[in-house]
Amino acid sequence: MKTHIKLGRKSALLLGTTILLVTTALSGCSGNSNNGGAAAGTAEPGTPTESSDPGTSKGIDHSKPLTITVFDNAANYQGEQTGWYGKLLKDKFNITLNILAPQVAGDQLYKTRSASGDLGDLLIIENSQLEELIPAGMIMDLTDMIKNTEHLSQYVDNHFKPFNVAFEKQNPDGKIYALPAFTADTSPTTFSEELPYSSPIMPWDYYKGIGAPKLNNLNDLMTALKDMQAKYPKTPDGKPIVPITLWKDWDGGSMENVRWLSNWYGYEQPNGTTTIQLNAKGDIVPIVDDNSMYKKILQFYYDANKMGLVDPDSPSQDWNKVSEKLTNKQVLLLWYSWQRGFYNTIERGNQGDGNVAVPIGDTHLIQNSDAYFGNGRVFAIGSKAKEPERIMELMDWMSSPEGLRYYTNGFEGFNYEKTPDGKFKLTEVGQTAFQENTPVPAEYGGGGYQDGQSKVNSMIMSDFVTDPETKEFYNSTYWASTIEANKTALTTDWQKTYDATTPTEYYTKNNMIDIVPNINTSLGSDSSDVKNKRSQISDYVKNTSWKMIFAKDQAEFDQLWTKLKSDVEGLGWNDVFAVDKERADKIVKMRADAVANK
Amino acid sequence: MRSETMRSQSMRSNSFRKFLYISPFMLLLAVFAYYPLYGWVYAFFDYTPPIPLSQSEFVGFKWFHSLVENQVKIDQLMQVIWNTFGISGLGILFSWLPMIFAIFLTEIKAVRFRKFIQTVTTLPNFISWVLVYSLAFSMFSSEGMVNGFLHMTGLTDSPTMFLQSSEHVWWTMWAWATWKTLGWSAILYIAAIMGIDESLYEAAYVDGATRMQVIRHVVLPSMMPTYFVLLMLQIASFLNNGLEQYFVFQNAFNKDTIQVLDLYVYNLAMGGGSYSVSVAISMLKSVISVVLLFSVNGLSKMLRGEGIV
Repeated sequence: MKTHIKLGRKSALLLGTTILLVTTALSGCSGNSNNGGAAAGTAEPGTPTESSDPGTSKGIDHSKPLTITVFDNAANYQGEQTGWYGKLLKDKFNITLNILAPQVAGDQLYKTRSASGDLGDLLIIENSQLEELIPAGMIMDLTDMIKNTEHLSQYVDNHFKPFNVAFEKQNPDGKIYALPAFTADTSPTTFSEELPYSSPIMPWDYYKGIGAPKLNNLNDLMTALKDMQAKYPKTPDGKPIVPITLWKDWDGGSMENVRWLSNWYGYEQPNGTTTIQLNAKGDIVPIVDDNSMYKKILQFYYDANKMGLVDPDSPSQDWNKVSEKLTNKQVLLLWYSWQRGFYNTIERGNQGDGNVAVPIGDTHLIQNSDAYFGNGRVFAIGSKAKEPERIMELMDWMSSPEGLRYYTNGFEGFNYEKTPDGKFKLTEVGQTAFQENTPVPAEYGGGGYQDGQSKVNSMIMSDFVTDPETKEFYNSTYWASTIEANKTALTTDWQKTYDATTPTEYYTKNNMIDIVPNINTSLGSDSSDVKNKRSQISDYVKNTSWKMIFAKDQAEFDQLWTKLKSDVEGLGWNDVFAVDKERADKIVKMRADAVANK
Repeated sequence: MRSETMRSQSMRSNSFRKFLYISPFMLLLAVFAYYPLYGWVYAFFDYTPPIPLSQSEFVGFKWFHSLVENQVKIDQLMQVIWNTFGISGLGILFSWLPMIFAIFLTEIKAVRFRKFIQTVTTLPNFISWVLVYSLAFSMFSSEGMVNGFLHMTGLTDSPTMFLQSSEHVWWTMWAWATWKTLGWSAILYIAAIMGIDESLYEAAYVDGATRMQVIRHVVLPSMMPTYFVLLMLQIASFLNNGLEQYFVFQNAFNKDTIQVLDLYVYNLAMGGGSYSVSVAISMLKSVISVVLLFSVNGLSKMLRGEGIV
């Protein structure tokens, strides 16, 4: 009897303990584990290597494999970097990248991981996030490490130092915490690209097909789109053609499709703000103002929808669907400069087929200059990162000629080759390797070329940096050889029509563009109160914008607008606007300084 | 004397043993139901990650107040509560459906056919809402099956936006939820029907009752206790409509009518990072749920003489 009881008690205790263990494991009572759902970004389990002299690129031990957790706002892909770029890093540095992408997993990834105190090893984050993370002690000081690098150290004085010093509040000692992303090496006031970031773009053959009417304003544009739609209702393989297609994936503070068309008429919404638009003169207009460009563009979309020009899929489709349509040439109006790449090829260009800039008479574009101080995101190293000197070494290599060539153009001999005069030239394969996802030779790691590209999707120094060997940009679009190869029927026809070599030149010549200095600096991060209000307002503005475009009639459009104006007031508009206005004032002032210092 | 102590000792050890039996479950409850309540403190602080709670400022009832600080916000919250009540209310209004379905299902005499129907109606319960939405999308989107059919037959010339209209959202949501859970919810009732004493049926047939009369006077009354217990549980979770269904179906056009409390809390916390505000709302939600449960329970005691709590 007694033993029986004992046994019962023992087993009950055992059961209890087991359950206790299981429940603690389940409820995740973890002090400082890496709750990322992904493998923790550490080297082999063991003590972190305390480097006695940080940053010497010599004498780094690569014998141990290292997995780096990359928290990457720019990435559209989550998981391990595989393919040829993955193999390259493994062979060169014995490093594997494990990418965490908020664009895939959602913004809560930042909140949950930052709340746990460890965002990752290599961080590619927004300026505003950097401002939150430095005081929280989650960013490593790179000042000493960067001094000893071979390539990055060249850019410290002109680019990195001014950028970091601007974060006065968080960084009173002027240390270097972060390296701005996509930094160009031209000048703070030049614009090197052949096509502005946002401008009207259409399929050249269709536009000519309706007699290439002169477009003086948006009404002409709508008429032209209507005519094109009537004449070309379907693609050769029977897919419906839509004049304008919209999508909601990237809507942030306002509706993104509206935001970028506002640029055509000289108004931009600076990064870090959601309630205002700004023009080159420095006028700051609230987007809910009755005369704002935001409202005018909403009206344009509404009118276009009334004429049957807006894709009915717009409210429900996602970006993938849109890119599919772009690849099939199912869309008549494009605006982002990079949207051309989905369809245009040299081969098609030779047949006069492709998307080109079609200027509209009354537009006056606003365009930011090259990102001399970066594009609003930064590269930083997490304070808990193991073996930071190896991460630094990797970042340094990314900014070296070799690293930049791999990132932007792939392999010499496969994607591009040397010409007799010491420049580079895209090979036959290289011209379409991205679009066709051409298989890569086994020696480079096999797989498709596009699949194997760097999924980091960002760089420290951009492709608008001059390659010391060729004296040309890394960006292959601007190689003499590419420009030569691009003298297709399409290009020459366009050049003849508009009497300019590039759209940028046309706009500049006709005084239809303002190039403003690109400002990338500390604008402060929102207090939780403002954050809260901003998010509610943004949500409201976005939803109402969509509703207005698809409104039944003008009366409903106007009524939604009126309600929007009064409701955002109640959601705390004035507080958020005050913050944004302060930021915009700072941008305006810095632009004036940049122009003065030219 | 001695036997006395012996007995009390064995009783004590016996009761201790019984306590050990339930302790794992109490532990589970403590870890998963009570421990998370400590998270409520976030509602009283100005918390934004990455700044830890220990360094956040204590703000008292600020966030509770911010929910109702002006008419626009009150309207917004009221709309959300109204949606919650509307959609839950529809659910409760039609809560008898699975029961009736179960009764008629068991009336089917052809075993194969009955099993087939039961399988088909239970299956959707195991499909995640995300997949349900993609199904809905392929049927009802502007290029979907239904619009294709309408266009083909010439009934419409432009696609109807089923998924984007804000009209009848409550009804469509209720319809989707019913389609998904009808067969699953009927299982309990089927079990209850199986448990009804055969002699009751026999007596009814001897008295010359028709099939319908048997259902009315034998089956239904025997199922009432089950029905009421389930109804009570449903009412207790009146405010918990869940999130997934509304999350996948929400878009800019129907947001005003689809946003229920759970979704609103999610959108606030994950969309805007307003953790503290969303904790404040969930606290209110818990309080209301407890009040609802006790009032229904009291009502049930008054009317039927029995409750569940």
